[in-house]
Amino acid sequence: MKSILLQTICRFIIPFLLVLSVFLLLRGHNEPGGGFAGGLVAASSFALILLAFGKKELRIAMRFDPKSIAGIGLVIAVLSGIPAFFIGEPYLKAIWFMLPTPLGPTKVGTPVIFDIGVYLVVIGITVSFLEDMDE
Amino acid sequence: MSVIFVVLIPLLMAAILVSLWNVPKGRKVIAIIGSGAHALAGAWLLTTVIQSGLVTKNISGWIPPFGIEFRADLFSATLVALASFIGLCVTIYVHSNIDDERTNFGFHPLFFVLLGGISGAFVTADLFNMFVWFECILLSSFVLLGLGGEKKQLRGSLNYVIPNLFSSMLFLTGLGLIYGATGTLNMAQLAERTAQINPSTAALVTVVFVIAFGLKAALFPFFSWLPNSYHTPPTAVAALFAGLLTKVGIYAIIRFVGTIAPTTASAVLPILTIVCVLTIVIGSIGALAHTSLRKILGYLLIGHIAFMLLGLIVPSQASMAAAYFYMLNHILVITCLFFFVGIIQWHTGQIDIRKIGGLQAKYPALAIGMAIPTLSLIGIPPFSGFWPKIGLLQAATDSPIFFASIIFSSFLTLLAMAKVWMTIFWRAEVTEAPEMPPCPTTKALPAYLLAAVILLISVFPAPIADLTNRAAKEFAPYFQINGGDQ
Repeated sequence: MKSILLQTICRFIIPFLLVLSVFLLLRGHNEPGGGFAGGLVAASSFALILLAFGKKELRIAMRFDPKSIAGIGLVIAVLSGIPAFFIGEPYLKAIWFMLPTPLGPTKVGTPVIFDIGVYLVVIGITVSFLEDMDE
Repeated sequence: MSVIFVVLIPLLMAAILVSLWNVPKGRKVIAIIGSGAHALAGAWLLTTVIQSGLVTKNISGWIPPFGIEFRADLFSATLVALASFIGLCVTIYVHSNIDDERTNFGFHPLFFVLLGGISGAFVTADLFNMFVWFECILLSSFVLLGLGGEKKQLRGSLNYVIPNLFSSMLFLTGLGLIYGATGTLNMAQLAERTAQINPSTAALVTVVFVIAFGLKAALFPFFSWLPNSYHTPPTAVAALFAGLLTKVGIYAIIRFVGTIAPTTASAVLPILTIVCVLTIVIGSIGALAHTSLRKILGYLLIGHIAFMLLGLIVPSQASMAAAYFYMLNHILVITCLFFFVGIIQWHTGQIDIRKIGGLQAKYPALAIGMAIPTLSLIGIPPFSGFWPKIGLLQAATDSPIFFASIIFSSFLTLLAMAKVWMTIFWRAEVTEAPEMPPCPTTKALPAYLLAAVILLISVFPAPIADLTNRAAKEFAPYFQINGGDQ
């Protein structure tokens, strides 16, 4: 059931999907997007790999066990509330600051870290569901 | 700060343990360290509350009603501290009890989600947030019951999840109603506003919530799911469920009727009294009818759970204090008993009392250890169960039917436990038990530790009585409104 057409298209489309997912992740705080949407897009690219190449190649492409990715995402999301303690604010209070980047100053903060956590959880959980269903 | 840590630590532990999904080594040790940290956080919260009173924190700095507030008064802080201590005991107990198959399918992360859910339900001051914690508890406990995939486990977990989902639905309906009527879900604001809304709406909302929580607490007539599901999972899981889960339901009823809607209590109290009495009677009779150790304890748990609502039914500080003391003691005692049942199961491979015998001759230490929670459960002086029971009886003189049911239940508990004791400990060995290796220390330690704590409370009940008195004072407005002596 391995189609050469799908495999060829995959090679083209997956890098774009992954870049799109990171783009969605980073624009997410005030505009449509965010960790959940970005994570789903990234997971769909892994789903394509699963369909086109099979489970073994998916594991090679992902490098880590999807459940561990979800767990690490959870840890990041939980920890993203901790920095607020150091400035005497309650848990999960957002801290923002401007970061100078080559593209000009960018606003970053703890919610971005939280979103990265969500992103990883969504990827991990979705891929592990798909893997289980593939059997 | 401490009020956040009691919820944060279990959730962080769950996350860490999920990321170690494929790393079997060290999982159990990490779990014990995490539980230890949780127990420390619980103790920290309790000492903070004892020293400086109410602790509140708005999560992420949003003020209520827009944000979620965590609030620990003495009533909830003591329960959290006790829950985290029980959690630590269960994690140690689990060390040798849960097989690899279960740990591979996420026993530990689920366990910590459950602990986090219980702690969260105790400290949250937002009714909708409480619903979220209840869902955390429900989902994780559903999977914990089903882990292992034995046939009877699947039946047990279905028995558990269907009534509890129904209860969640009622809870959500009640949330909608109360939000529509008052425009807030923060408990402190609700307490101010429920007195002002239409009394019949308030009564309806209260009834919906009491039914929803009553289902979780296994009150009559919604009790049958409890003994049918608690006898299937591994003993450690059953011990945790028996010790804490139904008490979360009781806590929610007391919190709702006692703090949020004290003015409408008069609408539900007559029904609640009948429900409690029937729960006590039926639970105690049910215990006599069964021969499986876990089912006997399950029914006794139902029979005793309704005592803890006496503080609402007889609105006075003394009755609330006694009921609260009873609740704290009951958490310790029932968990301890389930631990000992697990040890008996280890030695004999059985939990049916018809097939067990001669334990006293073979394992005298086990008999001495188990005698402590057993006597305390019945309420024999001077064991710890006696002190709250005498308080309950004194308080219940205003409600003769409740008084009678306490006496009735105490006798039936005595009868049920005496039957258990005489068959499994005193009679001669029935069948040749298979030769088992000695009970691992990690399994024996928490059981005997809890027995020692119970013994300590038996000898020095005064500090606990002080604590429960102070905790009961927090319900002073409820007693005033409902014509109690406070």
